[in-house]
Amino acid sequence: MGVAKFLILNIGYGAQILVSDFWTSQGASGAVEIYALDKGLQTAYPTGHSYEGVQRSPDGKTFAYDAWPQNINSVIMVIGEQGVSMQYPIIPPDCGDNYCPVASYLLGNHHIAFRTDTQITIYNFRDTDAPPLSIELADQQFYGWTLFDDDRWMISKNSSRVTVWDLQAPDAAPITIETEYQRFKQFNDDLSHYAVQSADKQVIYATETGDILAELPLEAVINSTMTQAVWWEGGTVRVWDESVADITSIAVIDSYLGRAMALHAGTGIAAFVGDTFQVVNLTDQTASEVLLSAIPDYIEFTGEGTTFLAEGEFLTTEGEKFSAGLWKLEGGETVLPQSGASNFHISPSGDYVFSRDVPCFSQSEMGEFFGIFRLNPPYTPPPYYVWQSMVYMSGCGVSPVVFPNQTNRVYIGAQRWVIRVDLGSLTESITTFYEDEPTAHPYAVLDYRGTNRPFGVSGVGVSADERWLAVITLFNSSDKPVRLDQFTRQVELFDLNGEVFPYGDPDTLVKRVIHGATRAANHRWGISGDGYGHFSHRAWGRNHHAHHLTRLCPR
Amino acid sequence: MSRIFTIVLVLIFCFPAAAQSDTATPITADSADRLHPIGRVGSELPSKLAFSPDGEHIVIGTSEYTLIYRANTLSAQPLTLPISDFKFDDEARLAGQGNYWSLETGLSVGIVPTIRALMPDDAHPTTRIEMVKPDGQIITVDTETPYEVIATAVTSDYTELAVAMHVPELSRDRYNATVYLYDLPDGNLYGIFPQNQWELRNFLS
Repeated sequence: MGVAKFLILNIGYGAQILVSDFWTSQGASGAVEIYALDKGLQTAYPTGHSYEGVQRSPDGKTFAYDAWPQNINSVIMVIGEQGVSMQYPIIPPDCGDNYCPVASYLLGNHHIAFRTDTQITIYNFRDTDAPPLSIELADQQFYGWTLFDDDRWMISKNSSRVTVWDLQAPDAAPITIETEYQRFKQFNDDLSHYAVQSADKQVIYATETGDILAELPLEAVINSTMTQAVWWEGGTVRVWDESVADITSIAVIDSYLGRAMALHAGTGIAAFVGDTFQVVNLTDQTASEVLLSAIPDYIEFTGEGTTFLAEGEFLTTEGEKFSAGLWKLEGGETVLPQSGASNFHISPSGDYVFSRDVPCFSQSEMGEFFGIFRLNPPYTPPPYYVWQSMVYMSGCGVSPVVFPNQTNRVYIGAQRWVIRVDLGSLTESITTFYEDEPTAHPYAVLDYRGTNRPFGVSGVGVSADERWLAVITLFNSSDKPVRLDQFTRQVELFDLNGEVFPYGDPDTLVKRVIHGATRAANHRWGISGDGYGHFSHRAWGRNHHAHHLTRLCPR
Repeated sequence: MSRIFTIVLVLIFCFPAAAQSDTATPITADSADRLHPIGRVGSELPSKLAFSPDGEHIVIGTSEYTLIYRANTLSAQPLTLPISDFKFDDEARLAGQGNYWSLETGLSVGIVPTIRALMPDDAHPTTRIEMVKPDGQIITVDTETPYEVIATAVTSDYTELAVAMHVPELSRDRYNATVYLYDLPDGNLYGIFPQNQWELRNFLS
């Protein structure tokens, strides 16, 4: 008997080696044979070349490969424990003697499938007497398949339908399940139940009747028979049981939602946000629990030990939801927070960027820039308005404010300009990065209100030492209104060493383009302060999320 | 809520404030192993949920302990295991914290075999592989190389060990590891060849 052990070794440089020690078609037993696939299979199998890659069955006992580089009248070799078990000429029935594109797939441990534009034909290479299964593809886009139950059942999917084929009964009608807007998960062991998943829940159906048996949260764990499911809800475990058609609760631990915490090292004050808001003074061993108007999801101490809290809900540029409130911690020995409402509530919508030690923040909303605000002790309302540029700053070209190490200086990009603001002297300096009016194109972009908006500088990044400046620009050359996500972006990096803001002609600065056109719908840029000049770019679009990290230059 | 508040107070009074201590040691790599928790606000944390592979039991994990319920009698008192993490292995055995556990008694029923790489240090300039067998016996193999271990695999009868290591002299790419083969339990090197690490388990299957 053969040992049936082989593997494909990737030895780099694009070469693969196939090692086998099973019986070969020539009857050599126990041999170890090595094939350099990039130079053609050699010795045992009279097959010619294979550049198309080798497919292996999950049990590792069978592999298949295209015997010719191009699959015109080609041959698929299926080689198992006993050597070549079948050779399949790739001339499907519907192609006649003519060429037609074919793809082959080794399906599980028993079957091989051939696909053309119009049909799939599946053969059982372990039982060559079994009739093949043919699936017409005329009415569906075929996305793929999954086999289970020892390769008896095959699930095929398209965008709106799941079909289950019985490979042991090719003539039997398949089970069809419509799954529009949902993702099919799996069947249970005996195909009597199946589960689908939508954006916010899982649903278990009875296969035969299509009845909904249970609607479960996404995180629910379902047993293999799909008759029970469990999930956490706070400190309680909920158990759905089909036999009782009900949900049982098991109280396991005290429910507690730990949302955030902060420690102010200078004063030894720790704040915990869970189901309640608590402040613990580690120095005098006191703790207080305060009822607030809302439980915040975010807390941060200011430099003096007062606390900034963000609470509620709205969408930030980072995709997080919160609204903002500010609470003051009273002085004195106990250092307790004020109870009740906050000293000041910031607008419950908008994007906020805070300086590293918090006292300054900027606010913008839907591309409208509202200015820079400062929070000064004793934090009596409201935060006072520090600065708003005289430059027109509205529309899609407004970038988030960048606070480098120096809190007193901020950078913001807008339309044609990068603006630096000195919050100490309340003066602003402007460098123009575009000579041309970005509004030269009258239809540049339609914003969410359907109004034409200009384009230009949409983001800036500044290194901690303020030597490096990155400018992100928006482009679109269409002569028709386009959406924001149809714009392309380019990132340019400027070495400002020795230059004084406002900089002169940007073309005279040491510049390089570090990202060509990208169609990211949103972005965040920053230059790390770790001395290595890394540059990060977070982008997300309608169907794409990505992080990019670019190394600029070692110092 | 009152319970949480009580916990906070108890913890604070039980552990005098570290901030006041004059003998506090800065946290460094040398002192890290002497760190210990001084308190917690809130309860244990919910963790894993799983059905046993045969569907007979529901296993509920928390940050402090694990409970085992019978799936068909949820009102019965559960078994409590002193482990905070668990998994079912390929043979449907419940494993956690280095032991196998009985779903019927909640008691340890064996040791989970492990394999880990011990990187070179001042006392041992070469990389070693430590294996804990199901019977608790420990086998240590000195690879006699200083290289970083990418992956390891051992045969079920503990007669062969394969160690994929990154040899910088042969490849800049960590994905093209070099595999060293040792016999066990002696740990003699008997083969070296280049191989993709992801195929290692196939080789030993």
